[in-house]
Amino acid sequence: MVLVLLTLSFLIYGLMDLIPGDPATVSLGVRATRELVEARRHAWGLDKPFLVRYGTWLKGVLLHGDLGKSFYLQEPVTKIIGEKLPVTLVLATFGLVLAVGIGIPLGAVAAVHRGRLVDKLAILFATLGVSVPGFWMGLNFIFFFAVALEWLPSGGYVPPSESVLEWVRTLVLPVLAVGLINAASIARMMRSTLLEVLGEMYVTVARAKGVKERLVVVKHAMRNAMLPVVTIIGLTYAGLVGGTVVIETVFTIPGISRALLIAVNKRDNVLLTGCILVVGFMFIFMNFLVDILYTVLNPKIRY
Amino acid sequence: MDQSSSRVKKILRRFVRNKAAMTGMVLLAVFVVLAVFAPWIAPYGPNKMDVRSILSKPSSAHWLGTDDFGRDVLSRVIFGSRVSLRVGLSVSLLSALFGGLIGLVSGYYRRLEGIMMRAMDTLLAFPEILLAIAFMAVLGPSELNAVLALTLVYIPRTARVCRSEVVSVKQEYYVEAARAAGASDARILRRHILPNVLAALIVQQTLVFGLAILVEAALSFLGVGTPPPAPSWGNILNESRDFLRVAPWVSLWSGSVIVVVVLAVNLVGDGLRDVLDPKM
Repeated sequence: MVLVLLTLSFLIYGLMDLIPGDPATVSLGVRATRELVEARRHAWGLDKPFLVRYGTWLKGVLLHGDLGKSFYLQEPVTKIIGEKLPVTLVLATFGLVLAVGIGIPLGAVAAVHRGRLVDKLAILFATLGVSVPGFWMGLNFIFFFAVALEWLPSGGYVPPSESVLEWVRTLVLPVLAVGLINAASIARMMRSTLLEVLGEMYVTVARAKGVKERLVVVKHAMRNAMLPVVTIIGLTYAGLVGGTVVIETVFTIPGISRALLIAVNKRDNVLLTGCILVVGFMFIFMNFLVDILYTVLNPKIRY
Repeated sequence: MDQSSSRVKKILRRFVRNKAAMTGMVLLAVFVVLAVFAPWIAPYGPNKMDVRSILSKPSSAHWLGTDDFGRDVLSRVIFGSRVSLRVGLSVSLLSALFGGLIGLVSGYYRRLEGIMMRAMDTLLAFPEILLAIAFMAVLGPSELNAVLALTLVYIPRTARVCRSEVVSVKQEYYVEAARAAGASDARILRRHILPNVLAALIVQQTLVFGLAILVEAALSFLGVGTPPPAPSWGNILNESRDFLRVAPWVSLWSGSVIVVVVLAVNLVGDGLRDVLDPKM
């Protein structure tokens, strides 16, 4: 894991160095004189060789947990991430809860009633879900709920410390957009794996013994069907931490994904590398949690 | 030859019988025709401005209305299909080529598997949109760079699928027999392994086609993809945000076509999976 993150940090830091223009030039604008740009480059250490800059940054990360100072925002990256990551985590968590709350029951019902109307509707929902762009769904929600009906705000974020009610109101639409899109892929996987498990011999035996269908599904089939679904849920959550950039942009939510976009636009490779490292770490950590959960769901699995 | 052509005919017959897949195929064909013949089908040029009709509702003169520059939305959507389909197809083919090659080599030569798949896993550790944004930051916004960036994003996924299939096929008796008969590695890969991996690869790349269209639209929406005034669907959606309140039809129509095209591609992909690789 550490090697992956180190390799990634080197790649991102290095690749950003290749982009024409640098943070000093971007921050001062096109009309800045050469002397001003050079002075800023010197002040920010950008005139040092790439390996020296990267080495200094890496030393700060490994020895002090210091991800450096953002060129554009002129604040410690750790502080910026500390402010923005919780916002993204709130959005990702609630979005995932909604996605799981819709996806698993829908997928299970569709599998149990295969071929019937509910199955066909579930397949349609799942197929549409992976075809609809999240940002378009977000725009439609804004139009209907914020513009036409005026029930909810069109964007922004109010921290819970200011007003819990407004915090909830600002999160409803983005969570709905994130949740519905991801519910589709979870429902699809749930249906597929449960169908496979319901075809297994031990399920047939349970039915033959007269066990009620509800017990067969819930007690015998679901547990085994959940294994691949748990992987999808884990990967979905990890993906949401960095992948909500479009939703955060549509609803102007100050999360980590937007910080990433700022870093890209402003050539701020320190901020970009820090954000990507954090997102990468979250992803790898989620994969690790999924592996642990596997052993809980299936005691036969041991590492 | 007779055996393989009759197998192809069987596959085609089964595909044609799948109503959902055929619906997807027809929809896709409509958009391909729109994209190819856009200059003749679109009523106006994609950037032709009519200042007297700024933000006008759908009418006989402008079937889908106009945007804030008085540009015909229908024409921009039709021309936008060229960008999306071009990017989708290019990414799908290029990632199949490079990802397939990596998958073939890493799946066949176990010595190379470790390092190749670790590299792929490093890239797979990130959400696609994030990786695409990072690559676009390095390459700069343009349609060609979007193709390059998205190809790099989807190579690992293709490589993984291909590698899994190669590892499975490599253990078959006919491969062992070919090896025992003295066939070279290149011959075994070309004659025995690749044809049996193609089915899964075709299904995978059909899905990549749809995903590439979605992510390209997202990149353009964020302002890091195909730059304006090129009529990319994502650009049109991005521009529509400023006047969503007064002209919601711009967002509605440009988003709807993305849904229809990606849905069509997914239906075709599902149909191909059912006939080529049911175990997927």
